[in-house]
Amino acid sequence: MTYREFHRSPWLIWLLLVAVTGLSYLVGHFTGTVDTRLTGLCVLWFALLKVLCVMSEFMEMRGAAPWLRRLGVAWLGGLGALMSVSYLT
Amino acid sequence: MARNGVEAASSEGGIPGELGIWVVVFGDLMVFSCFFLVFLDYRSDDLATFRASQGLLQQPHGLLNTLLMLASSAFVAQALRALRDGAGSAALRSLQLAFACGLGFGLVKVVEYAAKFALGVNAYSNDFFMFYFIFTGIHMCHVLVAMGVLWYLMRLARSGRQDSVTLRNFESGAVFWHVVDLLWIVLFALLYLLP
Repeated sequence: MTYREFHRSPWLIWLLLVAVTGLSYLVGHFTGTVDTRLTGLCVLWFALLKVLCVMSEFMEMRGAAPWLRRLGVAWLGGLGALMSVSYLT
Repeated sequence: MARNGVEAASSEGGIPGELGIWVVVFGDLMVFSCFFLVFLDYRSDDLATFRASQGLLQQPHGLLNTLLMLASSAFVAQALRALRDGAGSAALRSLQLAFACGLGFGLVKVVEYAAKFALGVNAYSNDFFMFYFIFTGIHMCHVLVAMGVLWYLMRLARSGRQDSVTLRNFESGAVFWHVVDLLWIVLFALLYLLP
């Protein structure tokens, strides 16, 4: 596989998703020394970042009709805000 | 541009797959969003029980399942690109690998459930495990349906048809598989990782 083919392939996004998953796992696993609320928010936002990647790249919403993109972003933004507030209260 | 002239609907500012699949997808996302928020609400009411119960889950199992889901999604995305490029056999291979990842996910889930039952834990143990079994159970049903969809896509890829209708069906199936993946991403964070 050439660099160009790799760059076009879904595996670059997959690598990013795996990296964020690893980071999220470490943050969630070793929470004893850090402020729990902050680490909890990090875990939630890392998950939402991964969801954004899956939606825009794998589900191809990035190049889709504007209304579909806006609907996806609205859902994700709303969910993120509500989950963050719910977690902190 | 695809070699065989069959382009993605999304490349023209349309929608990937059928409109109907997006109605199903957003309906599903709304239902799961309610699940997530109810879970967080119950969690804040009884944090000690939720934390203690979370400690009984095997995080490596959840991590392994997340990696399997992410890999399967990448394989499905790769299959779709291969089909657009007119490489039906490459698409079929990628779909078979995605299907294998789905099987692996199910296997890990069975092992995990068995370990919980061996500990005497079930959906009636407490609120955390009620949510755990309901959410992961409903998600597992989605995985099984999505594997059926992958099976259908494999038949499409094997048939060698590469017209626009086939591509649209393929895109719809791929979208559904990715939704199953993204729901698990949030479930993993909520059930296994959230401190």
